Amino acid sequence: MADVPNQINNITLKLKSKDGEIFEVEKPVAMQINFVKGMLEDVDEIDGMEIPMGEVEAAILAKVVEYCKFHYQQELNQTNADEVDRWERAFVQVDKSTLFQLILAANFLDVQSLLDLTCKTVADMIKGKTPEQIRAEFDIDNDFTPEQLEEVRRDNAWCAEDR
Amino acid sequence: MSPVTPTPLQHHLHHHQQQQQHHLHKPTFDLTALPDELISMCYADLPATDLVALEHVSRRLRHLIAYDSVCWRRCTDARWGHLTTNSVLLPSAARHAGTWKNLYSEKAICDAKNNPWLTLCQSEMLAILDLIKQHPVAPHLPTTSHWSTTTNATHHSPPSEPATPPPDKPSPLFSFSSPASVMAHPAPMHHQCINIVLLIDASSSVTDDDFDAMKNFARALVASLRHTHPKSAVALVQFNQHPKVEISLTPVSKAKLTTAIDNMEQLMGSTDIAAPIRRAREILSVEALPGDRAIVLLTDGQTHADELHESEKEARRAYEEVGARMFTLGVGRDVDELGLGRVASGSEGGMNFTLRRLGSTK
Repeated sequence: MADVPNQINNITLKLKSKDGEIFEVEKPVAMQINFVKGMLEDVDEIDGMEIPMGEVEAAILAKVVEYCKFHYQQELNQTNADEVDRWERAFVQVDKSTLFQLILAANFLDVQSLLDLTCKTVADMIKGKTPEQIRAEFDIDNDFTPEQLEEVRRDNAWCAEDR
Repeated sequence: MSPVTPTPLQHHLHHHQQQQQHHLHKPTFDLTALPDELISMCYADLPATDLVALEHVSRRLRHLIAYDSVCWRRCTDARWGHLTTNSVLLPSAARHAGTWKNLYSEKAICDAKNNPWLTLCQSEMLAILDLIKQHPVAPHLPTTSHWSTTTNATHHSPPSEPATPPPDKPSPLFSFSSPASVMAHPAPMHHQCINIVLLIDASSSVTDDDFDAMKNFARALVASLRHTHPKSAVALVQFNQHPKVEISLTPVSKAKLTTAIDNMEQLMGSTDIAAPIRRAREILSVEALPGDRAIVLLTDGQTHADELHESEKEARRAYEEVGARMFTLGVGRDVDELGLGRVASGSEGGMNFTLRRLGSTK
C-alpha cells in the first residue's frame, strides 16, 4: 500500500494494544477511529502521544489499523467500488473468533463502517440456513426443552406456507 | 445502524475498559460472546425466513428475535408498507397484535389464505374500528357549544389560562391520523356514543365476495361498538343509483340491526355515490342526536369523475352541517384509492382504507 502523503499529515500517533504492542499510525488514518478522535478533542500536544486502546489485543488492533489505512487510501485515490468490495471481502476472510473480536473492537472503538462490514459478514453466514445448519456454523448448543422447541415451531407454523 | 454505547471516552477510559472486560478477555469468541445489541445488528437486515430460522436455534435467539420490534417492523413495512393507505394502520395494528412479529405472521397467514386478494387482518380491522370510534371534537358543533364561546380567544393560549377548555375534552388540534397519537392515547371511549351511517355499494360491479366482505365489516363494526360504545346507533343503507335504507339509526344493542345486515340482498344496478352520502347527512341531521357522527362508505369506487367531485362536495357538506366524519373503505378489483381518499378528506379526521383488493406481496 502506498504511503500517506507527507506534507501536512506527518504527525503519527501511537496506539497501544491491551497486550502492550505499539502501532504507529498516521494521524488522519487513526482519526477514522472515533474512539481516538474523541480522546484527542481536548489534548493540545498529540505528536508521539501513546493512546491505550482498551481491551483490544494486538492481533485485532492490527486488523483495525489495516482497515483504516485502506479506507483512508481509498478515499484519497477514489478507488472504484468493485475494488473496495473485493478488498473488503478478502479482509473479512478470517476465523470466526477473529471476526467476533473485530465486531466487539469496531463497536468499542466506534468505527461504524467496520462494524457494518463485520455484522453483514455474520448475516451472510446465517442467510438461507436451517436452524441446524446455523447451530453447526456458529457452534451453538440447542438449549430448548422439547416442549419449548414445539412452541417455537407452533408460533412459526405460518412460515412454511408463506412462500 | 449506530454503534452501541457511543463513547465520550476521553474522560472515562478506565471505566470503559472495565466494562468491556467480560467481552474481550476470553481466548476464543463465538456469536454468543456478543452482547444482545450486537447480535441484533448482525440479523438486522435479514429477511423474515432467516429470522424465523434463527429463532429455532437457541433460547437466547428465540427471545431476542420474537420480541424485536425494530426488525419485524422493518420486515412488515418492506412487505406491506407501500401497498395501500392502510400502511398508516400498521403501528396501531401491531399494538392490537401484541408484537410486530405477531402482526407480520397474522398478515402473512391472511395473505396466504386469501391469495390473490389482499384483505385486512384482524388486528388491522381493530385499528380501523379504533379510528372510526375516536372522538376528535369539532369546535363548531352543538355537542361542544362551550367551545364556540372560548375558541377564538383562548384556543392557542397556555393551559394555565382559566378560560381554556376542560382537560377531559380532546384538543381540536389533536391529529387523529397520527398512529403515534392513537397509541399514546387509548381513548376513554366507554361512555361516549357514536351515530354511524353505513353506506354499502350494491351495484352490479360489486362481486359476491366483495359484498360479503362489506357485510363482514358491517358486522365487525356493530360488534365492536356493542363492546366499547353500547349506547351507539347504526343505520344501514345500500345503494345503486339510488340509496335504499335497510334500517335507520338503531341502537347497536338491538338484534334487528345484525339481522338487517345478515338479510341484506344485493340490489345490483349502476352506482351513484353522492346520493347515499346526502341521505346519510339527512339521517344524521336529527336535532337531538347525542354524541359523535360518522359516515362509513364501502364501495368499489368505480364511478365517473364528475360524480366523484359531487361526492366530495357532499362529504364536505355532511361534515360542515352535521359534523360527520367520512370514512371510505375500498373493496374490489380496481379500487380508486385516490378518488376515495379525496372524498374522505372532505371531513377533518376522515380517512380512506382498502378493505379488499387484488395484489401480491411476494
